[in-house]
Amino acid sequence: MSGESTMLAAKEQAFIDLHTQHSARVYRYIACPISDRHRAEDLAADVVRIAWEKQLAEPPGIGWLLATARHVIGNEYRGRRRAQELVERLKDEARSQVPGTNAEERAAVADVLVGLRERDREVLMLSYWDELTTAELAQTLGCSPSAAAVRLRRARRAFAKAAPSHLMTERKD
Amino acid sequence: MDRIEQLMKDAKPHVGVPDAAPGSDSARSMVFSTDPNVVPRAGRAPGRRIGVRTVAASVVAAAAVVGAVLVGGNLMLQPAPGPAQTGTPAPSASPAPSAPDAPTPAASQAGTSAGALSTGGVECTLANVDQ
Repeated sequence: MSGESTMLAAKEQAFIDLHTQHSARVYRYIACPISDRHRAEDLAADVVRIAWEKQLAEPPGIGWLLATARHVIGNEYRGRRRAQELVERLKDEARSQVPGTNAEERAAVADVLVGLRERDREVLMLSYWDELTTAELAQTLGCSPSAAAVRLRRARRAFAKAAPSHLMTERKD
Repeated sequence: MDRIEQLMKDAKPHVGVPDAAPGSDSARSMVFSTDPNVVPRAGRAPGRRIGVRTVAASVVAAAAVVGAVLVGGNLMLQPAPGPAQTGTPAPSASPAPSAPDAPTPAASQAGTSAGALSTGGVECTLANVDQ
């Protein structure tokens, strides 16, 4: 009985640690491309719940959690609807900004992102918005680290090709 | 930081901190459910959950109505049960009109079974009744 209590307490602590350590990043990953903040909260909670229910031998890392989050988002927003959600999200973001050079730049980046293929856009968002390392990116995408690095290079090339030339020139303030 | 990284980071949407940490509801329900100090969070309930709760409440209400009708119907149709046969019928309250000196079967049975009603050997006639 005491052993069971100790095991349960250890599991609870592991779950609390998991939640404390990663839930904010999972939430940000989900909330970035969609406009519905409350829905993002629910989906992030789903991801943590799935991790808990899986009873993994080792506590999952951020790569595993974001891979799960990808599937959760994929179930929620499929195909064109997901792209439309991102467009709406970026428009909302642009509207909330004070007009200025930075806002124009952001709007231009949003246009470029929306025009990219989904797989390129996703790699860029995971790398720069979610700040994943190559190893974490690989885990999230379900591929090898070298394949993840190749996908990032391709996505960057696609971005550079789609972006207007003035956007790629760094401002000198 | 190169130009693409800079542009991407500048364009990153601002994601506020949620009202409660994501997953906290699940954590409470699974981990802290026995803690008497935990107060359920009042506030937002997503539309889908509200819908589910509404449907569940409707089903429960309908079940309650059906149950009430059935119970009511059973009460109306069921005949009232007769008294249980205990083998010691209660003495008749009204005396037999035709033979006051001959005890009714009910009275005699009662006399044999209940000592409080015994005449103690005295004949049971009106003359022996105390005024």
